[in-house]
This record gives sequence, C-alpha cells and structure tokens, in this order.
Amino acid sequence: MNSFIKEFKEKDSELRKRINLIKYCIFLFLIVITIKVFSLQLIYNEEPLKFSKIQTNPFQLLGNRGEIRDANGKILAVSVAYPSIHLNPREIKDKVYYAKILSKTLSLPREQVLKKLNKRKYFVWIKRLASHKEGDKILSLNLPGVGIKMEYKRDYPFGHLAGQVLGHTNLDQIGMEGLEYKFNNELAGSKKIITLTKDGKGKIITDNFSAIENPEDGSNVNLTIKSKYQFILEKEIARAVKKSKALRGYGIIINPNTGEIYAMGSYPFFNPNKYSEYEDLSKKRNLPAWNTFEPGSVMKSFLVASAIEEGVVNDKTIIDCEMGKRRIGKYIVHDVNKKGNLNISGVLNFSSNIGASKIIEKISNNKYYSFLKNLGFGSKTNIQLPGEAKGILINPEKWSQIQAANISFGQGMSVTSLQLAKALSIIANGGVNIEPYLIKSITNSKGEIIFEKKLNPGRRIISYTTSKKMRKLLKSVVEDGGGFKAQIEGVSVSGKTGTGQVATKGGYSKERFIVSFIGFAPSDSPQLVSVITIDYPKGERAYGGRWAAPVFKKTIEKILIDEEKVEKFVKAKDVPSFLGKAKREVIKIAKEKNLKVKIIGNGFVKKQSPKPGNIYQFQEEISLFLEPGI
Amino acid sequence: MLKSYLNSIEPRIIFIISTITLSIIGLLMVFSSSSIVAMENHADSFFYLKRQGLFLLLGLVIMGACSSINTNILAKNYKFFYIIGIVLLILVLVPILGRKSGGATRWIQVFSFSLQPIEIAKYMLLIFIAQHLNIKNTRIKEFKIGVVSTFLPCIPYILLLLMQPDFGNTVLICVTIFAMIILSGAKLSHIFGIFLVLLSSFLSLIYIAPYRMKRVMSFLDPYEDPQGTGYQIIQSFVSFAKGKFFGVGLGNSSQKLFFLPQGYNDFIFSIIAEELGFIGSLLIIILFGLLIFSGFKMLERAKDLFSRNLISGIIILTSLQIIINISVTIGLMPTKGVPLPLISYGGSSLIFTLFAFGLVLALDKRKN
Repeated sequence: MNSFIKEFKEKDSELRKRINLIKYCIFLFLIVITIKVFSLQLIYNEEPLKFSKIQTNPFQLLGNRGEIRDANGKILAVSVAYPSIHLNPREIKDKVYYAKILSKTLSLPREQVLKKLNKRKYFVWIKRLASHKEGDKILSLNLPGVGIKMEYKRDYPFGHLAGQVLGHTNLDQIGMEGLEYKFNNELAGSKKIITLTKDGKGKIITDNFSAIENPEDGSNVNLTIKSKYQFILEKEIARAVKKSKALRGYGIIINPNTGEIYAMGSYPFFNPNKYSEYEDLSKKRNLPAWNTFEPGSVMKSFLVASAIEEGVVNDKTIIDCEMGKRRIGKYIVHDVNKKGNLNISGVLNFSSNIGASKIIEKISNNKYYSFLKNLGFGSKTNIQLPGEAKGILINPEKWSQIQAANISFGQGMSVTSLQLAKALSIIANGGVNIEPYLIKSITNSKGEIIFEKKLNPGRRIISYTTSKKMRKLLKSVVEDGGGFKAQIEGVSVSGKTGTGQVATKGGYSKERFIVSFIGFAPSDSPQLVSVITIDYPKGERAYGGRWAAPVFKKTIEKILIDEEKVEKFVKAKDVPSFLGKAKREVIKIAKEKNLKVKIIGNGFVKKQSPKPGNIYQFQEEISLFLEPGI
Repeated sequence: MLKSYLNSIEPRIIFIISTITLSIIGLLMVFSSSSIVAMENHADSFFYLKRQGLFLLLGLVIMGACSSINTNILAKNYKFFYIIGIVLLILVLVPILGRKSGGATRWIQVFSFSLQPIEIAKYMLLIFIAQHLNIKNTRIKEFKIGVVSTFLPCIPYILLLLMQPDFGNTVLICVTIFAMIILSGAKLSHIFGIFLVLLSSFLSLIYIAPYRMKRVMSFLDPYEDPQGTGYQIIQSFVSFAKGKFFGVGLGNSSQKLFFLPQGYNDFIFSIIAEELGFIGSLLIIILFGLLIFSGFKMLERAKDLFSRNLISGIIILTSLQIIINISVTIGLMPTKGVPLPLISYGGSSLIFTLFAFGLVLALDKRKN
C-alpha cells in the first residue's frame, strides 16, 4: 500500500515536471514571438516599407496634346479619348470563360488573352486604345475585374493628308516624326505628378479626386498648309506617279511673296494613323525637304537670271548652239533639240545645254556661285522640319570648264524641292528674299498667341527688272517651249522643265531620271509657286515636260477654279455649333442644314473644326470630335 | 511578485475575463479589418461584424451552458464523439456539401451558412483521446497499449484531413496528441521514438508535395518572390512595420485594402499590429498568456485523469493555434491556414473554441 502511494506520488511529481516543461515551452514561444513582433514593428521596419511604397503610385497626369491645324483652322492632328481595357487577373476566377468572352469582344487571339489572365498581377492591359464600339461592349458586359480607362490617342482625321509633314506620335503621345517631333515640347500638355493611393485591387482610393487640378493642355500649332491645296497636290502627284510607274513623286506649293507653304506632299503616302504598319521608313520622309537630287535643266532659269542680272546677256544676245554637239576638252555636250543660233529665250525654250554652257562662261564662276548661294542653294532654308537637307554646291575654285558646263544645266550639284521653290519665288516675286515657312502661329490652351510668324522685308537678291524679264522668259517656255503641258486656260503660267540624271556608281544612270517642273502663276503677278518632281518614271521620253508639267497644270488649275467657285458661293453660311451635342443630334442637324460632317469618336461633341461662327466653305467637311460624356 | 499576485487570483476568473476580453477585441478587429471587403463583396460594411457578433453571442451561451454540464457524459460517450468527428470530416468530402476555396475543400455549405468541420472534429478527437488515455492509464508505459493504441484512432482523422488537404490542422492535431501522451506519463524512450516517426513523416509529406516545399521555402526568404509566394508574408511585414509603437489607429490600416488577403481571418494579427501598434500586439499576447497561464492552473489542480487529459488537450491545442497563427504572420512559420483563437473571423472556430473553454470550466469544477 505504502509503495503504491509512493509510486503514485513519484509519478505525480514526474508528471508535474512534464506539465511544467510544456508550459515553459509555450511561454518561451510566446516570448520569442513578442521579441520578433517588437523587432518587426520597431527595429527592422524599413525593408518592408519599400514594398508598401509600391502601393502609393506616383501617377502622372498629362494635359491634352495640342492640335495641329491648317491655315483655315481645320484640324489635321488631334488627341481623342479612346477606351483602354485593363483587368485584374487576381480577381478573376473563371479564366477560361473570360478568355473566351474577351477574345471574342476585342478580337484578340484567345491564347494571348489567357496568358494575360494567368499573370499573377493586379493590373494588366488587355487592349489599349480599343475602338469605342469595343469599349461600349465591355461596359455592357459588366465583367467584374475588367475595367476601362480612357486614354488619348492621336488622330489624323484626314488620313494621309500631309502625313509626312505632320509625322506621328507614339502610343504615349510623344512626337516621333515630322512636326509632331519638332514641336513636341509645344504640343505636349504639361505634366503633373500626383501621388495616388491605390488599394490592392488597383482601385484609386483618393477621395478628393475631383479636387485635383488638371494640368495645362498643350499648345496648338497653326500651319500655313491649306488642306484643299494639299489634297489636290497629293492627288495629282499620286496620279502621275501611278501613270508613269515612277518610284515616287513629290511637290510643293508656296506663296512666292510671303514664303507660306500651302502644300507639301510626297507619294507613296504615309498615313500617321497607321504609323506602326510602315516598315519602309523612307515613306515617312517629307521628300520635298529631305530628298536631294541633281535638278537638271530647271537650273537654267537661275543661270539666265544671273546672266541678265550681271548684264552679260540681253534681248539681242545670240548664242550659237552648234547644232547639238559641243566639245569641251575630252567631253561632248549634247542637245536634244539640235539648233544653231538662238537668243536667250530660245535657249530656255529649247532647253539647250550647249547654250547654257556658253552662258555660264560669260559669268564668272565665283559670281554664279554666290548668286546660287544668295538664292539659297547649298544651305538649309531653316524651315522647321526635322531632317532637312542642304544639298551639294561645290566651291567655284574647283570648277573645271566641263564642271561649270554641267552646273549650268543643273548637273554636278544637288538641291531639294524646297530650295528650288524658294529660289524660284525670289525670281518670281520681284527679286526679294523670302523664307519658306510652315508655322503661322502657335497658340496656348487659353488661346493666347505664344508665337506668330512675322514677315520681315526681304533682302533684295535680283533687280525688279531682271525679275520681270524672267517672268516673261519663263512664260515663253510654257507658251512656246518645253513646258507647254503646263499651260492653263485663262491663266498665264511661267515655268521650266528639267530632267535630271541620277548619279550611280559608274557615272550616270541610263534609266533613272528625276524629272521636274518648276513654275508660277499668274506670270505677271505671281501668287503661287510650285515645284513638282517625279522620281524614276519608266519608259521612253522620261522628261519633266512630259510627266511633271501636267501635274503642275492640273494642280494649279484646280486650285484656281476652286477658289473661283468659293467666290461664287458668297452667300456663305456660318458654321453652326455642334459643341456638346450628342451623335444622333449631330446627324440630324447636318441633314437639315445640308452640311457635310465627319464624326470621330463616340458620345458628345467636344471639339469641332472649323469653329462655330466661321464662314462655311463650299463643300467643306466639318470635323467633329466626340468623347463619351460623364 | 507578479506571479504570486496572479496565483492569488482564482484562475477561473482570469480565464473567463481574458476569454471575453479577447473575443470582444476580436469582434472589433474583425469589423475594422473586414468592413471594406464586406462593402466590396456584400455591399454591407457590417456584414462580417453582424455575423461574428451573432457567433460570439451563441458561443458565449454555449460556453456558459457547457461550463455546468456533467462531464461524465463526455467520458461515457467518448466513442460517440469520435464518430461524430469522423462523420463531419467525411461530409466535407461529399461533393455537393463540400465547398472548395483556394484549392482545398475545408467547408460544408448548408444554405448561407458554412461550417468548418475540423474546428468541431478536433475537439471530438480530444474528448476521445482524453478518455482513451484515462482507460489505458495503468498500462501507459507499454509501447503498444500506451502509445500505439492512442495514435491508431488518430489515423482516420489525419487521412481525412490530408484529403482536404489541411496540412496545418494535421500538424496541430498530431502535436497536441503527442503532448497529451507525454503528459499522461508515457516512457521517454517511446516519446522520443514517436517524435522521430512524426518528424520524418512530415518531412516526407513536404517532400512529396512540391507546393508545400515552395510554401516552406517562401517563408524563409519572402523577398525572393515578393509578388508570388512571398507576397502574403511581405504584406504582413508591411503591416507590422507601419504599426510601429502606437499603431496607425483603429480603422486606419491601409494593408486591409486588399493588400493582405484574409486580413480579417488568418492575418488578423497583422492588422491589429498595424492599427494598434506594438502596444496592441503586446496586449493581445499578454491576454493570451494569461489565458494559457490560467488554463495550466486549472490543469494542475485537476482532480481526475480524464479532466487532466482533456484540459491539457484543449489548452495545448489553443496555445499551439495561437503560436502557429502569430508565427505565420511574423514569418517564423510557413503559411498554414490556422485561425487565431477568439480573434479571427469564423463561426466554427469561435463557437467551438468557446465550447471547449466551457468544457475546461466544467472539468475544473468536476469533483472526483
């Protein structure tokens, strides 16, 4: 009995030991936990906070990018809000169902959608800048975990119109090419960084969101380009390039008295709305300013102008054109039209190379060189476009006799169309220097003018008499000479054709020619100067007179006829205001008033071009930019 | 001095006061940490608060009722309780009843109420083991009778749990039973043997299922994959770090804004740490300490073996849950899915924890 009690007591004290052991273990654990909690909260609390910062994102608010407008205020480039669709993969359970529905609605490959759905993230873009239709569908589906954010996209309402001049922006609305690139700082809206707190699902939890002031919108750039002229020019160049099966063509229309560039086009076209689809970067180039070529006979106009200015030729000067063959050293200069004695007008009319080579010999090389320099050859015009070329004009000390002869008829030097247009403008406008320009003014978002082109009286380059003589001589080229295809009924035209040879590795190409026509109208009081260039027309008789002159004729003719029509349409109406109106309403008003409208976007009209109250131009299209209302 | 002061207070009072204090703090924190999720999911920010409040009331009533029952009923019907536990765990695996959530089926859905059977079953098993050890007490030193026969009835539970799968509760139950065997006087050599068997079997389980491996690795270095496996732990650390000494204030946690999944459930301690600071964390730990302390006091004064066994089972189980849950939130253990007793949202856990505490009070009253 005693031993049993003793054993029981021993056992009991053994068990008490065990209970204490476990109890102390538990309390030890609690102490360890307390220490760890202490260190997490008060000592090593910096590393995790870094991960917490991710959740208060600095969020960039960007002012709307400014517009690019033509001379009449018509919008050529604008930023329009489009729905960008995003989702939270962590919130979505039935990924297969979502993949099916989203790929169908947004017409995306199903695997691609599924891949995004399976990401272990809280925020994934599924389709940026989707169409408004797609945005509406997503909205009506009301899928949990799928959201829409309105993002701005650059829109070019007229597609390829002046595409190479305008350039394009990237997805983030940063200018990449053309004016968009050059004037990016002006066009871009100001940035504002605010710190937004987002919850774990990416939802913004800042409660005074509406109190945040929007950053300032970008400035609007107003161009000298006239859309109508641009449209006609592009159409005619395209037609000629297709007809002649040429490589490309480009042209420019400029006001010779002010330097305003009315149109500047290149074909093949570049549509900045689809910039990412162009693999061939040369299609993005604004060829009239970018491409240099040996101009050929068009240069004879400047040669003759120089000779008249220097007084080395006059009306009575007779030049022996040696029946189409002249030996200079070991070289022979040929003429297409084999003539004997010609006066100056004859040299231009028949475009005699031999005549030109003899005229340059009458002027000193230095004088002709500085004359060309004064006209702007060999240097940039400083038009504000990226990638402008300056061409090649060799120093006169290095000109040999044959080189001088070549330069006299426009070979052995290179120019841009823009330089030709500038030089011809000086010849045409009475002899004063002009600076070609594209930017009429820049206005900020409040409508204040922050830049305006000021016209300074230009330096005199040639005398008024010489200019008047040149107008007549070049008029004769169109009336009686090689430029006859540029004739326009009822309008006097002056101009000169040119067929430039293209330098290849072993001399000049026998196949490829760059043919041009430079001209102005009306001859007596020039209002428009145009330079048309067709690169590499195929087949026989690849002459400027055959391919480029008709483009000039049709373009200028249509422009002038159109102007006339507008004048007849004087009972001009005012452009009504569509601002704030819904799409359906817009269509109704347009029908009632018989107006052409172009609707871009969905929802309510936010912007319109031309602005309300402006005079409605005949057959003009009114561009309306819609954005979803709130 | 503190200890002698505490010793002078009736342990039942400490036990009851700390239980009620903790569950009220729990209710408050459930509301604070769930209101936004509730608004988002149920369009009612009081959704979880209302339910948890109801559960607490029900739980306290059950606790009161249980504290005055005749515990002989438990001992007599110990096999019946064992079977109830088994049936509940089987029901989870019945396809129409079981509710899948996060890759595991741990819930039974009946209308709008869902039940987590393991929260009940574990106490059923404890009742069974307590009486089993009581019966086998005289031969506890024999390996087969004392140790093996105690572990054998646990195997169906373990297997059913692993089928869910619920690794956390498996560990919890095994360790608790193990501790109960230690306390009922088994030989040290046997205990050590079992320890090795348990350890090796858990290691092999981890080895077999690579996702467990990944989880285990992630808690060791959560920063390796902050967006993936380490995400929860890091977000929990962020909570602790933000809380500092005094906390960001009740209701001001930013981590509960969906950064910390289950902020009202498994990670509620992190939200407490963030909103109430180290002061709050310490208060919770101290209250739990008092709860455990008073529990052990009642264990030490238990008059009979059954009471001693069951009280030790319940107290150790509760202590382990507290340790595991908090350890997970502070990155000392891999993520488990074990709720914090009395605090975490969840009816099954709260009601049956209070039920078990009621039993503790009843057993403490039991006269031999």
